[in-house]
Formats: sequence, structure tokens, C-alpha cells
Amino acid sequence: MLEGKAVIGETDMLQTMQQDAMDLASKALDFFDVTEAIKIARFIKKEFDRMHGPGWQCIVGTDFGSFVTHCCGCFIYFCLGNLAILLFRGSAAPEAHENRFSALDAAKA
Amino acid sequence: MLEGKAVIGETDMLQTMQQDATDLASKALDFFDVTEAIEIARFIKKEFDRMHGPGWQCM
Repeated sequence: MLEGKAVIGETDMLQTMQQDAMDLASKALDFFDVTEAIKIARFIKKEFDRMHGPGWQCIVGTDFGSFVTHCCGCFIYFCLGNLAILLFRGSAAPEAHENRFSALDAAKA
Repeated sequence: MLEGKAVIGETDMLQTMQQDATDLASKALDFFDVTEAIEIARFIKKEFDRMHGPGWQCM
């Protein structure tokens, strides 16, 4: 349902990962109704944990503002139909033994 | 504004941390309008990072 109709608001993901996110959202809407926001969010988050490693967070709704710290290359905010979807891999802060960086990002439905 | 009016949906936080969260939300609504959702989220997240260590997310 609605395949190809996602509109990206903001992302720093690679194209392939962006496509995974939008494909999963479309698939979620084949399984769930637009009113089942928690089930849609759970579906996307769990699948991303499986496909791209743990630590993903997913927020689905029609009207929210957000401000998060995420791993670089792991943030996307897009709209599908009248739903807004925020997906990111949460990050606390750069750590000496891990070669990754954090960025702050905001999204508003 | 609206101090003491927060209604908790679900939490596993200690009482003091819960209070910090609801207090900050009230304070945010003294600074920002209800339509400024991103500013409110930023305010709460950054303050929690400062008070309780990094890695908080606010929607």
C-alpha cells in the first residue's frame, strides 16, 4: 500500500537504508491500519534492529515534535500518507573506544 | 504554567526523575508556545542530558 508515495523530510542515511525504511513503512501499512501507530512503530523498529543492528528507535504519529541524539548515518524522518515516521539509532555520546559520532537532529510532524 | 497538572501515562523512573521531567515540561511551556513542539523537545532533552547524563531523546 502507498508504495513509492513516501516523502522524505530529512535524512542522513545512505540511499539503500532510506529505501529499507520506506519499504518497511509501506509493508507495515499492509499489515496494520493507520490508526495502529504503535504496531507500525514496533514493526519498523524490530525489523531495523534485525537488518541493521540493535538500538533503533521509531516514532509514528500525525502531530509531534522531537529532538534526538542519533548515530551519524542513522536518521530519517519521512511522511507516508498522513503519517509521520521518525526512525533513528539512538546514541548517547562519542566514546573513546568507539569510532562513531553523534549528531543532534530535530523533526516535527 | 500548568505546574502540577501533568498526567503520567507510563513510567519506570524514580519519583525524583519523574518530577524533573514534569517540572521541565512546565518550565518549557513558560518559555515556548504549545505549537513550538521542537523547541519544547529540545529544551527538555538538553536539560536531561545535562542533569542525568547524555543520551536522552524527547518527542
